[in-house]
Amino acid sequence: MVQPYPKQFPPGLYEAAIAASRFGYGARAGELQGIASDPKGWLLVQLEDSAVPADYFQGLPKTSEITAKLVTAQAAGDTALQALRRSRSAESQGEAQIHASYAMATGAPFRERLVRFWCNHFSLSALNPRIFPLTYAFERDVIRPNLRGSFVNLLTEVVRHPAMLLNFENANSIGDYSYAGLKGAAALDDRLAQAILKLYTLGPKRQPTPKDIFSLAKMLTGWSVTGPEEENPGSFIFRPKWHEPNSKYFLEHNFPHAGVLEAEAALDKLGRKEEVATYLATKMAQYFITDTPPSELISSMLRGFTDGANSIMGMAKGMVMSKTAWSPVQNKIKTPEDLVLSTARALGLGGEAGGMTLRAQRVLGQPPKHAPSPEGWSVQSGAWIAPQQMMDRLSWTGAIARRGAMVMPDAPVADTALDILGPLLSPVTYRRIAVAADRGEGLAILFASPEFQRR
Amino acid sequence: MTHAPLPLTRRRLLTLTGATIATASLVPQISFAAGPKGRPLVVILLRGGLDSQALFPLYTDPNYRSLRGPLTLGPPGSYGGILDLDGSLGLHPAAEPLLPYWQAGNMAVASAVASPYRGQSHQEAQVVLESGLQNYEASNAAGGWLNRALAASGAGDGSIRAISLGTKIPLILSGTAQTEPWLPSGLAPNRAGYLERIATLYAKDPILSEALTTGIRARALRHAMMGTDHVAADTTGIAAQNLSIATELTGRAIAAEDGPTVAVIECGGWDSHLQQGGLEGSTARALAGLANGLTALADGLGPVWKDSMILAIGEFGRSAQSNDQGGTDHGIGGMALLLGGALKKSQRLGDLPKLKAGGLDPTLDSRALFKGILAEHWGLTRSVLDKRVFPDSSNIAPISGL
Repeated sequence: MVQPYPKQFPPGLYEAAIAASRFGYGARAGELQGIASDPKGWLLVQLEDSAVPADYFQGLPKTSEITAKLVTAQAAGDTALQALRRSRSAESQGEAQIHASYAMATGAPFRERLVRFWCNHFSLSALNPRIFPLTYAFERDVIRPNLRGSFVNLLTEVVRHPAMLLNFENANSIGDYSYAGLKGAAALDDRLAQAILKLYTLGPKRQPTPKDIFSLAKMLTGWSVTGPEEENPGSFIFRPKWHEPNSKYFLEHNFPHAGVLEAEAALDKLGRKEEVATYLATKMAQYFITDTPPSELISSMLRGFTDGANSIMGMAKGMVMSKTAWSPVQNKIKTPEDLVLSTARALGLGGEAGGMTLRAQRVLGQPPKHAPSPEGWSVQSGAWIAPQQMMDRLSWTGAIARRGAMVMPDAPVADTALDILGPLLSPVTYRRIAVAADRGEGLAILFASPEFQRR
Repeated sequence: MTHAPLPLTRRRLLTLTGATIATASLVPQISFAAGPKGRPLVVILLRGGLDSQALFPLYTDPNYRSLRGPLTLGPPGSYGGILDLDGSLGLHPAAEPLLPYWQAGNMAVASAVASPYRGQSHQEAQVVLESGLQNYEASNAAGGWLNRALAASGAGDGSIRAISLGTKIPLILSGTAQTEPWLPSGLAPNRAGYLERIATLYAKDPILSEALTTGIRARALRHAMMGTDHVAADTTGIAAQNLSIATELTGRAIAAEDGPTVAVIECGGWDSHLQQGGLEGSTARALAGLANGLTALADGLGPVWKDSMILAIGEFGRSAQSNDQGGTDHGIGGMALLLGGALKKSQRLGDLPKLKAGGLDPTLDSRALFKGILAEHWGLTRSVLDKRVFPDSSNIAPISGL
């Protein structure tokens, strides 16, 4: 028997629904009541623990195990690289599956979405044959362990990582006036410097000067990766003989010649710029809350960032503490990834649904670790609701709703919908679900509803 | 289903993932006697005619790039490039989940297989492919080769279950042997008008409403421009996007104690005359759906995977060259894909075709392929195959070594 739509909801339930849906992957049935006692606290506590799971990723390969094979195959040529791709394919699929399962199983979905935000910010794609086996190891070894530190620290660790140096081919960048360069080997490559400035720090709206790009590229010469003939193949190495000598002028500041320390100092200088913090805060706010973040939200995030000494989690905390974060308006349309994961959670599924979510993300156009360019997936809602994408996502939610109805408990779907969305569920949608022809159609309406498609 | 975090050890993972491959060593080995009993066979009919050069590009062919034009994929080693299988046969990156199966020796690919049909009609081509006969005129009332194979192997009395996903039995499985349509509630399509009803839910959400109504209109327009033969090919069966939801359940049903041994699944939407795209686009998404469907089926089959064979084939191939609408037109030689733990090795089937304008010249007769499957997988003899299953076809030898 379906209950009438509640006249009023218990205190805290509205905020609980927003916390679960806007900041996490949505609630499972029965979960909102627990969050309602302290919705803000439920989010903030997730920022305290490490993003490295205790044992979930155990046995998965370390960066160094993979890079050793990768640089050896790269040196041997295309045929060897294709052979590595084939021989590693089962392991690659396995990593994808374990990571997908973890996103379903974790009790800290807000933290998990932050992990995905930063992975997407420093996007590495398996479509790039130079780094295809490294995308998940990069997440495990660089992104997750460094989320509780400062942005400068994360940025430096990211840039030092062999995957990043190989991704933009900085590993082969040699300064014109370096020892090797003067012998004729010069090949300055500024792609990593461009990515750092345009994608990772200043953002696409603030064009860096050509001079700054050039200077940063020069400071990064010699930041390389050991080859198959060297000790510990596939590791970070600074090659002084490839490094462009003399001082560099970067961000209106003179950097004296200091070898590997130059780029570290430059990244430190860059990572602390106020406009960088603003860009990061804006992008994060767009990822979670709205395509057009108001200044109240951005200042709260910047405050959190600065109070925590350039802290990544501080920025997230500032977001939770802002007023805008709790606006009743569901501004964002879920990305395919978030739609798929929240649908699976609404169906009561956990880690065992990892494979299903992975498959769904592939057909809805957002396969994990396969972004089409170094810019990563768009954080703007508009990128995900072209008419064909809308048809595809509703075709999928319709099908998974029917399949899901086979495993859902027998409670009326309208009650389940209320359990999952709480006060976000409108009376209109509630009634439409209550009068649906059967349980499958009821779930299909729930998953298609604006309240569920948005966050 | 529960949501308790699973202790996902590496070993457990391998059994969960694309690598039912790995289960072969983890489950007790049981070998089945010849005949269909316990030797599962799943046939996926790709309605509309899949573009073999999108899924398995022959990227070393000198004409590949010039013929494919906007549909060209980058060579292996380039960003988003083709995944190499054996030095000449490539794999679309969207179908990457199939790569472990090739690597494990569980996949065979024909690039230019064809039934004897040479016309342009989807419906006629399907009839000839599924009947297993020489021509359309003889085929209509003759029933399907898979049904005759069941009858000839002694399983036609219902001693094994043969199902077809949906409410109707397609021709391939029609005939005197006992078969049943199968449609669990979880795989039933939504009632007609599902999207239109959702659209009314968006009355107060102009953004979602605009996207959906535009999508519905575009689909109607596309169908209005196509003939009925094409619309049927576009809409029959399950859309590739959702294939894995159906195949995972089918696989589990087959693996169950009293489950079926033979299943036929129709998958529509492959008639890609318009804007099929390259690395991204509608065909890439459909190929991802097909790869999903096959790997989900393998996962679902679980313990019986090692004794199973899966065949995916369409009624015909497509033109090697792109047309001026960014799609491909009907061709002759098309793709057949075999997947299964029962395969002896990964290999190409039939000679490599030369890419040229128009359809690919067939290098393998579909009946030779089907005969090979029935001979190797179920142990049907040459004379049974030549006379009963594929009447008057003694000139077509089964392929061997599957």
